[in-house]
Amino acid sequence: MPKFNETNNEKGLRNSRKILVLGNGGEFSDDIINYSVHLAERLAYDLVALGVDVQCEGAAFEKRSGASASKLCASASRHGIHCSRLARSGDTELALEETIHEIKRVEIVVTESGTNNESTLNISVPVVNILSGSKRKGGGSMTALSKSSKAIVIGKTVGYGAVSAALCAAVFTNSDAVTQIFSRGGWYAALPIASVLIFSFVHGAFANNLWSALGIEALKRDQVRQTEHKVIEKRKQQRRRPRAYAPVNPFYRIGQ
Amino acid sequence: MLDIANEASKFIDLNFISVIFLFLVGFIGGLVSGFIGSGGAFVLTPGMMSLGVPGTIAVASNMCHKFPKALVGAYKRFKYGQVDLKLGLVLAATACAGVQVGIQIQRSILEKWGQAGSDLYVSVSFVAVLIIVGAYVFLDAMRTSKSGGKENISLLARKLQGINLPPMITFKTANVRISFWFTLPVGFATGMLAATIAVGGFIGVPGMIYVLGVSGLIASASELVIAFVMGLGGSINWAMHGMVDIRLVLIILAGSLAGVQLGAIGTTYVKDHMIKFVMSIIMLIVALSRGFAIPGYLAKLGVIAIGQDTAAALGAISLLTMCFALLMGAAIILVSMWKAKKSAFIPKPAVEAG
Repeated sequence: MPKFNETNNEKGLRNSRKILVLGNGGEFSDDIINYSVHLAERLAYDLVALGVDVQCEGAAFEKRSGASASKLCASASRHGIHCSRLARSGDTELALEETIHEIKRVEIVVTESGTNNESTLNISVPVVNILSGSKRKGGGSMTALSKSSKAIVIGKTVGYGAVSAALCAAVFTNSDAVTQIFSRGGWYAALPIASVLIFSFVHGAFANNLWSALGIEALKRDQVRQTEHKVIEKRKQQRRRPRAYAPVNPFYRIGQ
Repeated sequence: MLDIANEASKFIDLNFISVIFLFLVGFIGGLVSGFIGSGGAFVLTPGMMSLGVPGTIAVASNMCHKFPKALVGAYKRFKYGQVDLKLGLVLAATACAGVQVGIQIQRSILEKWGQAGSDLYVSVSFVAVLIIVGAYVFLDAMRTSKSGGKENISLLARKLQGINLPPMITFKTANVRISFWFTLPVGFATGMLAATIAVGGFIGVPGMIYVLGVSGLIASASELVIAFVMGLGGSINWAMHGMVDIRLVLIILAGSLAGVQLGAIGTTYVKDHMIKFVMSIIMLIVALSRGFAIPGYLAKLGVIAIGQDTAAALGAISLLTMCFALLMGAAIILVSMWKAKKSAFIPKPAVEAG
């Protein structure tokens, strides 16, 4: 279960229709600010800026997201629109569902193209996804690495790549001797088995870092699939409360 | 053993083209294995033999590259929460027994009908198993795709899960509780097929899905555990006979370790039924490819008469069709990954907010 860190008191949330604006990595681009403010102005809705700390960065995220959300709220207030901001941590889909469930009256969710669309596929209100021309375009789930972590990944790729190449070179420069010793059979069988295991560790780490450096990384939805989706489903079921019917007999007293 | 070891020392000379070929086949095979849990290996043995590698060394080197690849793939998918380790190990234990029985059957056929008879048995097993299972998986994948991607547990699996026949085993990640006795035939058949056609996953993964009621995603990931255990056992056996050409193994591994990780990453981008879809398409094309090879073996046994040129042409078509199966699988995986990536950045049509 994700932790919720609300940076805004709920008294700020009025009982009016709202547009929930989801930040991309906690930040709101100029495009999403312009679009959501104008949409809210046209429809006379309130705005709620939501930043979800998916990677559990903590204070750094709150600071960054808070500054960006303040920009959105400042723009909204210039147009006379009420705006409040929320910050949460954990899975985006769960955080969205929780927010919609708690603050009620969310009519539309606005996201931008850099945000992972998978997390907004199953939510229960309409989603407007706008094309963002911000610098983060083309980033998102596949290139969610910051500059420093990307440098580390590239460093690891080069390091493991060099070791892997050295191992290959060691085998191929002495290929005759190596193949002869490795194919002696019996206890010498340990040599090829150990070699492939060592190579698979080094080269596997190289390949792993290579894909990360190229920006090809797994989507995180599978990790949340097991538990958190169950919570979301439960929430959805809870919301569909059956109506209470009073048994009324229209022929009551007729027989009396 | 010594004689075999001497024979094994006749390793081929590698040139630039053969290195590139092995690397690429390794990469594509790894990509498919990482995605569907198995496959890819079936092209490598005939591929290596076409480069002039003796049959036994090709089989041994293929096996020796398979287990580290499965290890890396299984580790990667374990991190994504897709591997049911207990399921993989239970099935691997019974699969090992299946492998032994499969080898005995192969040996007795080899003694009775010679190499052509053995090849015919392998091809007929290929065609029969792959067409029946492949067609079933394909139809199921299409059905799931039409129903919006929601996977249903098969009727057989639901019935078997309802039978309380001790010892009952709970597989937590797979979210399945089933009697141990029902896991036996799945593991055994996986081992038998692995010993016969070298790709046990073509029966292991559908077996887990339709007999045990495991989802396609978890079945294909857990298959990597089975492949690792069986591959390790087989590799030790071959290495003790001195049959492993470490140079070939390293080249193939260089490609396949990158491919298997990309395939594993791919599983997180696509819907679950895509795994069934890719697997069934590969199975059906491979069945077709082995179908082309059958007349050649029948001619060798003297059952039918065809010219040598025709037999050689059919053999070449068979190998090319097999390569096509692998390329097709890899293309579907990469295209579906690309589409999933693209859909994350292209906006959906705006909802009318008025």
